[in-house]
Amino acid sequence: MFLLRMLCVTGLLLSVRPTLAATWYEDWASIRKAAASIKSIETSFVQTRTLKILTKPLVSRGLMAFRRPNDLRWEYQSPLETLLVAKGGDIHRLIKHGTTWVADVSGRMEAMKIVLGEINLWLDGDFSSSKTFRPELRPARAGQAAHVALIPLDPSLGKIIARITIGFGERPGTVSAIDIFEEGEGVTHIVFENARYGQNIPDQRFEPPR
Amino acid sequence: MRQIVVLSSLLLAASCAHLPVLEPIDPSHAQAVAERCKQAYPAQPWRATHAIFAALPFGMNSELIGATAVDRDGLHAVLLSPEGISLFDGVQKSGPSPSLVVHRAVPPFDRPDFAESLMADVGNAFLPPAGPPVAIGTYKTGAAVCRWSPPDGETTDVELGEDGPRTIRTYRALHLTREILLVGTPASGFYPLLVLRVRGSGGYELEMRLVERE
Repeated sequence: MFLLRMLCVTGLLLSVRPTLAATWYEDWASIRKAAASIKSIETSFVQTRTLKILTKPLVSRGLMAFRRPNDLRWEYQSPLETLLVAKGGDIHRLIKHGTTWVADVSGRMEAMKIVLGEINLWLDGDFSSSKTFRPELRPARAGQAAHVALIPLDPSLGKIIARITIGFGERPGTVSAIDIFEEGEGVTHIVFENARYGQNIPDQRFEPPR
Repeated sequence: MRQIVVLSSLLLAASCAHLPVLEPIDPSHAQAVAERCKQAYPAQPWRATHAIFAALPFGMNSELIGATAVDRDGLHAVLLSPEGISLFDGVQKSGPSPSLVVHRAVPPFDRPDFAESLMADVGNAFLPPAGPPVAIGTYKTGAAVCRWSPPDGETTDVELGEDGPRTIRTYRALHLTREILLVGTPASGFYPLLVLRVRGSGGYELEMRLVERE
């Protein structure tokens, strides 16, 4: 009787045990290999930021385009209209004023410019080349999916951005979300939506508007 | 000789500084004008979000998100980068012992005078001066104006157009320091666009487009 019960319990455990399929983000090499399979990405994104003084989160929307090896378009469409384009190492930051784009020449936020400059590294799966952040690959834990945490190397940057986490997408080599944590409670959450992969993206998408 | 010319110019400028003259209006209209001037400001408490285009000295353009709120604690102001990073977070506390508390300020928004200037900009744009106006009249152009002049404080003029308040001006020591254009049709005291111009050598212009209000 005891043996029968043991067999039943063991059988039940085996039947409900989740399949531990290998993920594409088990180590840095797997991540780079998977990312290399993604030639281009075009996606919209929704950015939410909660503030204590507002009852509703502040929602920004935009578009992102990436083409290997390192061409990037990061565009906010509402409520602000700003644009970062990078092609062949040539980076332009612009602001829409009225109907024209003007150069963003402010010293507004060097830290954020550094972050935007690193996005194409992340999309390339190349976290370890960063001179700005120390990457940590964190496996899934209770209530939290596996992700990469980026910790600023420079303490002065750490006062502005405590850490950034990059969430992996289901499709190998893709990013599903970015969270930017400030010192204290502030968090900016960016989720990518309706992504299209491997499309041929024309050069002009990575160039400043004429 | 050059010093004399400069000194003369300064004295001339000082002697010319004065508030715009207000012509008297029919006293029976004064109350109605005062009521219309109050429409320049939203009724408290409120919360609002603005998209801000800042034209700064030396062609330094920038775009930011501004979140502001007024409640029983005072005036709260938060500036965010487009990416949602908090650049400045402060509150001008009201009550018997008003004080300015800065919760967060990152470079270049951590300059000693920045918090005070920001709160003055936001306060002038959204908070009505205390008490009733000390004078109600018209500019030489014929535009009706309400004027507040608290002792040891800035003088504030609210100028009315045909359809309501159109410009807020502040003066310190008789010099125009700040001009705020109220553009579009307001809803509950919030205008679709505010254009704030600060005069002086470090002058700047902010275009504040209303995103949301509560």
